[in-house]
Amino acid sequence: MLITAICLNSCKKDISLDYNSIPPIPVIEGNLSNLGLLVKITNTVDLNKPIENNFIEGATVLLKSDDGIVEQLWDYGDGYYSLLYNFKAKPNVNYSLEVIIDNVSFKSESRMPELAIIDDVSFELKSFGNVPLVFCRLNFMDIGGEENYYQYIIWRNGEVFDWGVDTSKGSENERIYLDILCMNKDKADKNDPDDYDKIIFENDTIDVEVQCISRTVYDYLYSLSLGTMVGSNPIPNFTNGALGYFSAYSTNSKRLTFKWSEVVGYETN
Amino acid sequence: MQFLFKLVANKVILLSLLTIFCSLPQSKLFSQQSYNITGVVISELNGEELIGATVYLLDNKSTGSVTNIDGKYKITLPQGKYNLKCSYIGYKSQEKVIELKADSNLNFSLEPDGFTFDEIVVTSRESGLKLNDVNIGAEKLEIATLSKTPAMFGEKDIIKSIQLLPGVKSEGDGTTGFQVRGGTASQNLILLDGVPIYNAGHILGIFSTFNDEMLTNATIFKGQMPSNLGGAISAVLDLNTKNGNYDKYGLTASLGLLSARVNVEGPIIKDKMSLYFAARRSYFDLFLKTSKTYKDNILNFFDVNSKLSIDLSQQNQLFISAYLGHDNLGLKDIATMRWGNKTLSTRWFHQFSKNFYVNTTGFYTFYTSNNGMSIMENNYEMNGFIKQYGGKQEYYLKTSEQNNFSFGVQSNFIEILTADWVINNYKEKEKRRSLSNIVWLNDELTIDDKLTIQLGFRFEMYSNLGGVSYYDIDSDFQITQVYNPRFRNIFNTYFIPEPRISANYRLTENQSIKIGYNKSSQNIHALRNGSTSMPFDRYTISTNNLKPQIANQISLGYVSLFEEKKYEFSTEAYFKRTNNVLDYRDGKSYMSEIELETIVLSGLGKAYGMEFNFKKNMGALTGWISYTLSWSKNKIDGINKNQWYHAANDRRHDISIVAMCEFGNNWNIGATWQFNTGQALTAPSAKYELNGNTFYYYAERNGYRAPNYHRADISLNKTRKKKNFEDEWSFGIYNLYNRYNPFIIMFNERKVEETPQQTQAFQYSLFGILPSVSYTIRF
Repeated sequence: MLITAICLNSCKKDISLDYNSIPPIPVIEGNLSNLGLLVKITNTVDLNKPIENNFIEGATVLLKSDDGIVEQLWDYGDGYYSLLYNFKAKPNVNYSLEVIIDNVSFKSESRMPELAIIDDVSFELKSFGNVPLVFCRLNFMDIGGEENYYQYIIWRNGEVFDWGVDTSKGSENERIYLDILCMNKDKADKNDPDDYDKIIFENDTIDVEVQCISRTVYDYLYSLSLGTMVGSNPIPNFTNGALGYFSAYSTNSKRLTFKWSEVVGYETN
Repeated sequence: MQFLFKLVANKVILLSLLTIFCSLPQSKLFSQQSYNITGVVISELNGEELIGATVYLLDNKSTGSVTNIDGKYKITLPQGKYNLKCSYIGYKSQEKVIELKADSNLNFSLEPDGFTFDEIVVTSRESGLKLNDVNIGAEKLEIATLSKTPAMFGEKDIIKSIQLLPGVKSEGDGTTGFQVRGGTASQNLILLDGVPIYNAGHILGIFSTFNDEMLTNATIFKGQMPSNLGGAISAVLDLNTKNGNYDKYGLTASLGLLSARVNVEGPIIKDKMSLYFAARRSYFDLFLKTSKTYKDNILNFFDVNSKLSIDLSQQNQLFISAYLGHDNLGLKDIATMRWGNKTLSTRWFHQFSKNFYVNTTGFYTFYTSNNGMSIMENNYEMNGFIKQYGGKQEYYLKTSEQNNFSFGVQSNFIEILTADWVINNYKEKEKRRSLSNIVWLNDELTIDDKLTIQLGFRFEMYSNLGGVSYYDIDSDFQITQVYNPRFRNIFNTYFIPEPRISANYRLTENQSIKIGYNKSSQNIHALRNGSTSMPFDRYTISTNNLKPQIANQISLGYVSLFEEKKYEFSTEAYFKRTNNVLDYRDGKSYMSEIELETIVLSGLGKAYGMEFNFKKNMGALTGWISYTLSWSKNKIDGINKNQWYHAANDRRHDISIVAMCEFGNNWNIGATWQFNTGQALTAPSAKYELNGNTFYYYAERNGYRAPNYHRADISLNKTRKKKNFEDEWSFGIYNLYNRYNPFIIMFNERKVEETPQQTQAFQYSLFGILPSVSYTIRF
């Protein structure tokens, strides 16, 4: 708003760049939690192509832990790897994941923290200046001890709507309150199809998940979230240049159905 | 393990020693039969001292003098009657007769020749001076009366003007930052009356923090600089403010589209003490309050300059300057952004003799930035400051017509709050302290009528002081050991020698070649967060982890005047190698960690290029065309796979065309056109999906180019001179052909049903076409 007040003539327009093409780089998405294990392995793709059919099959994926577990994951196809049984991780155990593709090994380690239970989730509408914004208000109890790291994910009808990471800094051993900006009500009212990925609609099913993650995963996801703002790759989580992360985390979530009438402040706005 | 030792044992008392030296009795240099004529040459328009004016005997032109930095001159002659003439470019000459029977005072007040308004105008160093100047790469900016350049929102601006000079580049729209010879804006030092100023931009870089009405001249040193200047590895911009008129009162008021200003000057004690006071404030926030949409926005700035000049005696003058600038942006009850500079300096000028004088200066500068945000029940604050105070003495001695020798000492205490973050009840901060002691000497030696050499040496002893925490970090950037030295203890010291040499050789009367080598260092570092004039940069100083940035530059130049000095051509080539340049680690930004030294890496930099300037100095139409061809690269282990990469400010071609024309009765028109090829840009080379989101992979830092930038500006000025006042209407159009230049470039995935998902780059532009009008009146 402030910038607009000055830059009456500012504008946005598409520009063309002649993108370089580079050899594909493995991308490993390793999720291990108290609910289960799933590893997804794909390749990067050129910018002028859609992200499809880029999964890697036939990789060797090994899971190890410092409490004696050594397991090779099963290739389920389409880039997905897991065990043949539902393996659930335990808090305070160190896990490592090794992925071997074409005789090149990529390794990562992660220690699973304790579980942080979500106490409450709600939505609130509040105007900033003349802009009405909807926030998801989430609170949970810090797991205690020194600084802890959390990832929140808001799922809308089973797809990721928003995510972010935070730390317990300033709230160690206390309740942590997160106010997550979800959408601009003006955009929701306008109902432009271009904005559909930024709007929560009436009766959408919302799952709010809180993961307690390790420091290395926090560093990776935080630097990943900086995105084009800093124009650099995230801090590596795997050896040998693979992208992605391996996270051993504890998780829980709360589900609710989005209804404008239940949004705090909706009536007064 | 760091080596600690007592500060007490290291106290430098050079300032005291030199003060004692100063007070020694002066020898009688001249015979009893001769008397001194001393005086000051000022502009009748504003009382400003004129530097470099000539005063000489009308019947013997070889006998005379040139005014010094304070506009003063001195001629020693036997008893008799003399006819003296005073001349200065841009002013009508003046003659005066004096009957010399004793030491006498004779002042000149010159009337401008031509235009009556002094405006900020970029004129390269006056032709003859540039031909002779041994400081290769120095450009002097005159606050002259001759012509005008267009400016944004009708505000003349010294920083915007210097960006039109060869080798000086704008960082882009939305900033007053400028880049010199491959350096970044954070590698420049801006001095206002000798005091450092940081983040010299008001809101969105529309204005610099310098009120042009207050300035008298400015010099930019593009790498090669005399030894009294240092503390920056790219460039030093040295700005000087006006003295108040010793003789009469003056008032100037100006109203532009976004701001208004008033300047008052005059004698407090006639011919002894004068005051200049200038104040400027934006007023568009008053309009915002009337808008339903923007009524909660806060958007204003102000700056205030004042200078008290006191003539203590013919040999002693005292100048006290103060500056206060402040910006305030925000959204009521939600967000605040405040930043600004405060400075205070006192300079005592003492003249021992015609050829020997000293300047003693004490200064204080304080830059602060305070940003806050309050969303729902969460409160965030990010604060920082740079506090610096110190003193210096500079001696200038002309031992003969062929030799100008100068030397000096300086001590600075610096305290920096690299960050102070508040997250609800949680607080953390990082501070740094240092003391630097500097000695320097400089000798300009005229070997013969063709060759002039300048030799300089600057030596700095830089020490980190205790009272704050320092730490060691390992190869994974983890803190391995913390040190808490006591307040008066020195924690870490660097000794930095800086030799400098340059030479000017006159090939013919109108041609010269120059060569120079310069070593300079920088201990105050800014980690920039984008190229804007907003207060998000983090500052720190050299420590055990961050070594001083050191630059070595060689340059070679050629100057030629032709057609009776009507035209000037100059070209310079340079190569610069820099040690310990800083850049963010991959995946880190300015607010990733409070411990700033854990989020940056240092390495090598190199920059090279050529600058060309063709200029028309005289006639109804004046102006210049400048072209710069340049490269700037970095190599920092841990970034870009340890390979050389283009610096973020690298761009290959820069062109500036400036034309100024006077016509009719007090009309003049100014026009500029700027062009540069695309700035280095980090763009992705591949993409991937994680957690259902698309992310980009960057194969090379700064491996792409942004679109070209070009823009034309034009201004039209009408001046009138009435019996009791003068006024001026100024009309301007910024970005005449409404070119949308890149300000921010971003990427996203285009979702078109008929075509596969593709990555699309898009740019935000800041300013389209902007007309402006301003009115100025002077009494």
